[in-house]
Amino acid sequence: MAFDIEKNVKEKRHQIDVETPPDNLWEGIEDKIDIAQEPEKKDYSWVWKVAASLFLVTSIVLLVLLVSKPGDQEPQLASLSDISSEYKSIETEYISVIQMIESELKLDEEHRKEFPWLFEELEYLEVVNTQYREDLSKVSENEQVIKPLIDYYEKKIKILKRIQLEINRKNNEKDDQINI
Amino acid sequence: MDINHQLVKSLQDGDMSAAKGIYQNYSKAMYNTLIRITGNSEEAQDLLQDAFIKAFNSIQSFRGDSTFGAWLKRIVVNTGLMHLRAKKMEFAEINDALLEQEEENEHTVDIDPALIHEEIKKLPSGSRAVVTLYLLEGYTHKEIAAELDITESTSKTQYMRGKKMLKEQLNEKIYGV
Repeated sequence: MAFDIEKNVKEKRHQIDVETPPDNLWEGIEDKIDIAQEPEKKDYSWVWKVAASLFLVTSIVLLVLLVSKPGDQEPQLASLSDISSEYKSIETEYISVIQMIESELKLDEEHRKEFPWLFEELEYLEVVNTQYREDLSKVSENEQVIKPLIDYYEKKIKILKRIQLEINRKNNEKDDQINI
Repeated sequence: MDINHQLVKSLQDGDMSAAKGIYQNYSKAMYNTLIRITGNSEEAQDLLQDAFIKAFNSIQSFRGDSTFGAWLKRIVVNTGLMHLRAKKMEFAEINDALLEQEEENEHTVDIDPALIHEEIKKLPSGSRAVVTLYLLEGYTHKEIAAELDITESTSKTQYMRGKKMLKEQLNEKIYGV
């Protein structure tokens, strides 16, 4: 005999949540709550002006340093572009896809607060990738370089797409009432 | 203003006692979701703690443009999925020909909800996650594909397979066949 599972679940959604968490779980949560109080709204436009000035000054200083001592300032980072013109165009394609998604998403601090788990993944990916690139720059076998770098771009695109889905989901939920 | 809305507002204003009220009102539903995602009570307990800590510590980012339950559920589900992604997921394998025979003669039999919960827990991890997200949490296959890093068509197939296995398990439990 076949059951109509979907109908059963739809009609009894609340009743399917049958298990109760142990009482002592709350203690482990209570100790780790650290709620930052919402700061009063202030005009922070001066912060942006200072940041822009600092950025400009830093960029000029870095440019001067790079011109005066080429190759000494930053560790060598492996890139697909170094391998061949074919891989250069693949890398350019990945970068343009990422830039396109990022420009559509217009990610800001609010998104970071809203979906911290996704930004944590993104930051972790960047840290690992920088380390990888540094290590791979010392490797002479191209095959060893290609896969991790392509993996990095694909993982980054996937995380960005998940952020995109979360934003869409949030927008769709605005008027929804969840059944819990 | 409903009680949960008041609790959230109080917590945002710094009243820490409101956190316990929120936990009491939402923890059971969230715990069950995590059990179905992980298939394991102990892992679900750890993840429940992580998810509530994350939610409380970022409570100021809740702006009320979705319900608090929806916002919290998203954090809970994502905490569960992050855990699942770190492990190797196991997908259901059954004969595709059998899959096509399905959907005939579906009967409207009342099934004990506790039994549905128990049998979902027994599904292989990948199909269990797909069944939980699609059937109980209202995710689309496109969303599931992105979350689990699988294709949309894998999500659909795994849903069908998971559902088929679930029906077989329920048949065995109820009728012994």
